[in-house]
Amino acid sequence: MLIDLILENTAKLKSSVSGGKWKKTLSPEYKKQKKKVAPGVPNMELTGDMLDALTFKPYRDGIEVGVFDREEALKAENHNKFTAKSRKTKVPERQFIPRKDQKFKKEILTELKTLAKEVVDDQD
Amino acid sequence: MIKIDYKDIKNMREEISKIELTVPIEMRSKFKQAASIMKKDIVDTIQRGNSPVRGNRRFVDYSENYKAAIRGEKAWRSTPGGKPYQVNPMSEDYERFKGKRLRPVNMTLSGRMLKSIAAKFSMRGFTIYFTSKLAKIHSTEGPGGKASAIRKVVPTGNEQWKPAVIRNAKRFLEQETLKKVVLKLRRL
Repeated sequence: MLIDLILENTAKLKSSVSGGKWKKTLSPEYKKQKKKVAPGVPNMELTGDMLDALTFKPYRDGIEVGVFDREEALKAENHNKFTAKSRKTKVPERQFIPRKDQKFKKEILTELKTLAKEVVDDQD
Repeated sequence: MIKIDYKDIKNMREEISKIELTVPIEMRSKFKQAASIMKKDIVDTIQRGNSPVRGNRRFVDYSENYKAAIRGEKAWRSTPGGKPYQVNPMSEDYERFKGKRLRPVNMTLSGRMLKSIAAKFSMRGFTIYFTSKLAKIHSTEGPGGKASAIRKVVPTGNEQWKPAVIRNAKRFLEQETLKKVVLKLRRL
């Protein structure tokens, strides 16, 4: 569900992160290149590989959502600006995964809480 | 009025994935609106390149051959019966791909399959299904029987729609009824 909501926001050109940035325009050169294969909008999808790699890993206390494939993780890191190094790159900031000091948008968290409650209610 | 014979209904039923909603009797008139909301959410999800079926993520990428055809390059294609043929870039066949993009994998070529999404109502709930047989082919055997190209556009067997495509219709019914809506999947 969380991945679906992130992908939904991304397709709508919206950040999934509370207070997250989303540069609404593409550079003219990149737009020209992108339009050959995909819509010329900043929907984070040129080949689709990065969003295909968006996944989750369960761990003891919950789940970790992210891009774990090494090559695709670099793209995601540069767009999400997780590290000081990525903040220095020219890659435009379009956050779809929160940094450690950030949270997902309230509406996403509400949806997840509702779903979790339904699952618990179902089991009762 | 459209006449549908038994054969058509039988075929149609095979593709049906049913969502049964337990809602108060006075709210049954609201099913139509809820179904419209859900149909729109399903089609939007598919057009973004995501499967609306629970447990499935983004649709698998197009095959290299199909990509070549979209790009207007020479490519091998196969008939619905599986017979291979080479597409001539100058042929009318390429007209079908005009304007088609490689991404997202949106299951839209002519648009007929997605337009065939429909709803059927009963006293206990409503059913969302595709009248186009392609929906079932893509969801079960893949185009040309290629299992690697299965793209789940409609739940089959015990599968269910994703919560993400149900939530708005469910919320609508809950707001209208002020009561909790229970969703159930019934196998046909």
